[in-house]
Amino acid sequence: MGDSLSLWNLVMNASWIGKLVMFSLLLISIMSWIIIVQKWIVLSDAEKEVFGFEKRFWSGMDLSQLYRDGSSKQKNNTSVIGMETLFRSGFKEFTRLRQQPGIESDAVMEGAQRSMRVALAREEKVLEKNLPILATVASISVYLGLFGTVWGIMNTFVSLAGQSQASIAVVAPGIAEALLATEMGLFAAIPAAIGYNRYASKVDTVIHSYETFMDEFSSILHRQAHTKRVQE
Amino acid sequence: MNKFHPMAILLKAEGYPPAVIASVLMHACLLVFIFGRSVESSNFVAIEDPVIMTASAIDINPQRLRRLKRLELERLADSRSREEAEARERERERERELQQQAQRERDAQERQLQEETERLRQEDLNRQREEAARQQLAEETRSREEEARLQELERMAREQSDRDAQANQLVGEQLIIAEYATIIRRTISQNWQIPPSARNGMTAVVQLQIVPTGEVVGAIIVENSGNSAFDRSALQAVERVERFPELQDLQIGVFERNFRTFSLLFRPEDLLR
Repeated sequence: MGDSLSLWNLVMNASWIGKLVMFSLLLISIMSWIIIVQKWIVLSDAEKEVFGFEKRFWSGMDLSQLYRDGSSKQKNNTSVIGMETLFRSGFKEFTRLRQQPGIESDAVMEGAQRSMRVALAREEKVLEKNLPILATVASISVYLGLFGTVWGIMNTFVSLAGQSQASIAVVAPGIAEALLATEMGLFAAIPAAIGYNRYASKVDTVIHSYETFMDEFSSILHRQAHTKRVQE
Repeated sequence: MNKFHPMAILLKAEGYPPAVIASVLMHACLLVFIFGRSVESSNFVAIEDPVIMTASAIDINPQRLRRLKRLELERLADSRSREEAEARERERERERELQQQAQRERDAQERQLQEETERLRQEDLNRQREEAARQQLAEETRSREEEARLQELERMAREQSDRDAQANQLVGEQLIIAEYATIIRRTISQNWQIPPSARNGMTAVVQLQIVPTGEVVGAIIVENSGNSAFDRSALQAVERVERFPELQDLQIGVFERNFRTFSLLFRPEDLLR
């Protein structure tokens, strides 16, 4: 036992419950890292989009021109995300209602805001997707590792009871094997916890800027609706 | 304006494919890195037994020594007789070979003769008949010899397995003795208080009388160290133990042969090292 004490041997000599725990922890770790990388891609993209779209929006460009740009982008198979979808849904609803005669400007405003709120809810859903899984992994995998460790140490002590002479060489491999489970649990939990906290605050920031934009845009639409009405 | 999204292509699948690839790759690298190098046992700091003293059990049980010597002698005698038997066997083999050689030569001569006498039909016939009879005889003797040799081999194998069984038993007993000697040694070590006057090189041998319940019924110094305080401390260590409850578990035969009278060597070097 002493000569070939490698980590691999420790894993292979573990009881089947220990193996099960370690295997599931490995799967959980892989899953949480998939989510971490995927969330990182989605969120950094959303942040970039917020920055870029706000710049374009406030550059003094004609709003209908901006809308047409988005349409041509969609035709080129490039998806439109984030703030631009808010703008598009609000602007579309606004122009559609405005073209119909006999609708009050307050009603037009209300319709545009409602459609923007719907778009906002959809964007929120995309941004927050999978985050609860990260939170679950962060809290569960520690317990799972602890379970494996306690089980392993219990087995070690049970086998120790059958020995007439207890020595450190008898207990050491069993305890090392047991501690491996905790180690794997922590290994899965720490990045998941960090990822969850970081991404939750990022999502908050992005959604907050969406809401701000929504308010600003509806104030612009509001001004337009009422000035047009006054001119008529 | 159109190249606003450099990563837009990734976003179609919400970034899952690169995430899966990255995560799996990372874990694969990690596993290879961790499991690839084995933890050498020499990297561990060896934790030595905190030995305070070693009281090694030396064996001066005369019965056992005599028995061991007898076994040794038997084994020697056995191997010698086996060698002799082998030598005899080899001798016989050589003789047989010589005979066969002669036979073969004779056969050749006869065949020559046969060629000569091929023209003379009746003589040839006679000779053939003779030869057949002789061949039969040779066949019979050969088969008998073969049988004898097989029997010999069988007997040798049987002896060998007997000896092996004996040896196995002896080894098993040695292990048991070693285990219990360790227990005794440890118990006494824990109870020994070495006097300050003890010096390196002092040795005392104490002979114990133990009964099968594990109780120590007698302890005498058979070899003193020249320092009475040291001798007394050794005796006190034994007296303080009074009883080895583990010895109850021993088979009575093993106990009688090895632990009925039992000698312990007390030596303070390890303490003063």
